Amino acid sequence: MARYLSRTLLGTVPTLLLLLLIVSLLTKLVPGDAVDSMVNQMGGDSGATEAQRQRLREELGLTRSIPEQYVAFLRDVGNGSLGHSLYSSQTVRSLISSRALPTIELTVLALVGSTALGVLTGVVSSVRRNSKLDYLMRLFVLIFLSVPNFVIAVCVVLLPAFYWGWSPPLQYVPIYEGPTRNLLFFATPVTALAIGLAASVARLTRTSTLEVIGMDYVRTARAKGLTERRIVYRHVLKNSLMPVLTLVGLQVGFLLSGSIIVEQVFSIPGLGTLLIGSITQRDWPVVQGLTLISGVVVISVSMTVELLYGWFDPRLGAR
Amino acid sequence: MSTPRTAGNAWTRRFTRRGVIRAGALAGVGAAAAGLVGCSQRPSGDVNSATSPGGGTSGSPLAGGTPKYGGKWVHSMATGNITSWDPYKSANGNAQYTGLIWDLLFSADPKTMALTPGLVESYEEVELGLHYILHVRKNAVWEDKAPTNGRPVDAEDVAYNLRYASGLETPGAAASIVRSSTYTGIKSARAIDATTVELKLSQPNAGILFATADQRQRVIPKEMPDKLKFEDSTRAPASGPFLMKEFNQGVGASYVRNPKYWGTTKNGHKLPFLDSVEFRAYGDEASLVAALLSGNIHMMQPGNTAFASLKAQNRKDIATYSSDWRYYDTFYINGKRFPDPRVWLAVQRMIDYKDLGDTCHLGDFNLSGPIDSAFPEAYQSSEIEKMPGYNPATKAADIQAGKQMLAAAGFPDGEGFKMEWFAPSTSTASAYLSSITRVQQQFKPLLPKMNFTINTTPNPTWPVTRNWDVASYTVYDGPNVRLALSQLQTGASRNYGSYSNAEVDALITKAFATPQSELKPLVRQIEDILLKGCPQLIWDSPKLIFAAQSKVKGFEELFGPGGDGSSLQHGTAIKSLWLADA
Repeated sequence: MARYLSRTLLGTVPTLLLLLLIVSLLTKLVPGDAVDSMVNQMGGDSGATEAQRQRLREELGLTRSIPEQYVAFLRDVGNGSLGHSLYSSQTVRSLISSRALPTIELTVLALVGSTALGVLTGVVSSVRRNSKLDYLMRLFVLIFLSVPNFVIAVCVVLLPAFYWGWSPPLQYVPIYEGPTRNLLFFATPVTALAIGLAASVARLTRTSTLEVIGMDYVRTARAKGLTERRIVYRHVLKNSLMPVLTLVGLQVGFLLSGSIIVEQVFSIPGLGTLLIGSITQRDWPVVQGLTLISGVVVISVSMTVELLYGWFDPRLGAR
Repeated sequence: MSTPRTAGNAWTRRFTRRGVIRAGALAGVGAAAAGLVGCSQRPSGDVNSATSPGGGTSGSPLAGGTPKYGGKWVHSMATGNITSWDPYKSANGNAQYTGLIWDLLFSADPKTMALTPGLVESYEEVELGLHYILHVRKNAVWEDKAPTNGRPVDAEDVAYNLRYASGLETPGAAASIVRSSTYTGIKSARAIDATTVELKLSQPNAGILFATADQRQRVIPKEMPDKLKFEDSTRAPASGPFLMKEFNQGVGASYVRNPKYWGTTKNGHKLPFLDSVEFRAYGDEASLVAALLSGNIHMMQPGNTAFASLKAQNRKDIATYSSDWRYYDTFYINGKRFPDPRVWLAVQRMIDYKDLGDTCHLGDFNLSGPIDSAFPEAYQSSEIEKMPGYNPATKAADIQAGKQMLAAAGFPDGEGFKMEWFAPSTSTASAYLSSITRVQQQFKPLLPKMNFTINTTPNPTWPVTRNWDVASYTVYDGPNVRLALSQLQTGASRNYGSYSNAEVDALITKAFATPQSELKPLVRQIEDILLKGCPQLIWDSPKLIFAAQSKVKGFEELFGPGGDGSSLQHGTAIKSLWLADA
């Protein structure tokens, strides 16, 4: 296990380096830089001469060559700061730390909630195959698979306000200031973010469960007189969740990107809004830092999923 | 063989007692959860805690009445990071917040744009545009915290701000002082005594005092930025109607009433009326509308579609307003790429302005000529709409005239005529993109051979690099027509179309040495020249539209081109508003 882990970790390093290189190159293709954005924020015509802009670019390190900037960034990664924001001069690490909690909460709640709801829906749907409940569940799955999460988010926010003068809480409350208000605040954005994923999980769970339910050992278990509940939850579920586990692992990346829009709609001061603001302002060190973090998260989740394979299927763990 | 549980269909299956109990329990849990969420919709200090007095209906101003003191105003926080609290280094970013804690030297009357006292109580004009004596208000004081420690606002504060705003105080950083061009000519600003300032200019600038009435030109204590950095706003001493208590970028901010504020209304009511102000961040317009409708904020500035929808709803608890203000939409033709005035005139003649305004602003606009019609000295909308290009009755003839001009310029029927129109914003709801798209739709049947493309690639450098054929933009001017005219001077920083006309330059210079009461003929003379061809095509002065809860009172005092639009946007107006249920 230790050898497997260390081998996998070593393998992620070149992946991350390549990811950062690609992001660094892509940012250079976008028109304008942070100085232009700063000047534009000041009115665009503040009278700053080209010489003054160039001096500012030199101060901010924007005149260095791409390889130099890339190496400087790697150095900042090495010392843990992840660089400095071109706007606020704060370290990227402190910026990310100050905005990470809402995003972590949003994505973890969405992941847990969607997995639980999706698995439950899929299992019930498969067990009650061809029932009215099954048809209803499959209809909802189809709807929520088709409707993007940002549409759901906007509808949930706007429609009740228009017709009933009610809106879900739109003011973020940190968990340490009020756990109950915090959870109530997250109820709606988590639902908007998770429901699409839950639909995917439900569909896959249903298919996978139906496949396992039809196997001989399940029939043998029934013949032995075991209850249906015991059969499903003890014998069927574990074997049918392998593909679901893969899906959930893959969906973490989609959750992170989906959370950006949800954070905007629900005014969550998280990493998604930080990313949008940084891209708009061409604050590339922050964008690079966020890309690195998201890359690490996705890779970590993938590794975790691989480890969990071993738990679900001991045969894979032994191998 | 399949089991009975998985075979057959629901019609043959009976409801079990266990199933009914389970369903009922689930329904109960769901209802409880919905109730909990419903109870949480209103945060503490709910803005809608009292029933509306029922005043005001959609589309009509609210009735006035005796102002009430008390209550908490909740406002939406603008998105986007504030990079500096320095009001002189920001276009608009921090004005929403600084407008509550800092005052202006002068302000402009909302109706007439006449100069009205602010921190400067009165002034003497020793020589028009060249020499002024300013008398500082004696009852204005700074907040009782370091470094001002409650001292009076004095002449040195005023002098410092004049020098700072003009770039004199920090010559090395003058380029970063936005709007310093409106302070052109300041030679010296010095305190003669504790409450008297002498202001001298090296070249006539009769608009200089109006430049200080720009809502963004907030007066800061002379100790800033030396003793007090701009990074921590909550340390900044206030002299305005409110004191800042907390500020969290992108999350929210809170203010409380300044008990020592000097301001009063025209009727002598002490300002501000509100006890406190809270800003809340909302990510997008849908959230803002939802927050307004559910009573979580008092006011918002919706987009055209949302405004029309709110207006159509005709709700008793929400009132909608539209007001003239000093803000205009412009197409800038790049004069360097299209130097032929016939091209400018052809485009000007062929645009259907009424259709454009109706499409982009749903009718909430005033037609405008080369100078914003909001200024009383400029041609007014009723006069503009009789002029070639603007007159709906002569549109067909104008189009033909435009085609002939294009043909004379070498583009018969638009053949070979290539124009890329640039919209600084990519939002499909943005006025820039919608106006360009509409013009494209207008021009397609008129000039089928024209190559009309739209560029929406984000480019924050566009005002400086000017690497576009036509740019769509909106402009906000200071409360004086001279400031609008100055944009058209050769080489002026906001002369985006690179217009250059020696006669116009001379007339604009003359305007800066002309008394306000004598400006009208001069402005019209300039407009007559511009009407013969100018790459800056102002096409309308859109109205300020906003929606507010019906219990909000005091808007009427703020309506007019001189103040309300910008003051609402910049937070100043909040000091004059009150809540009927306070």
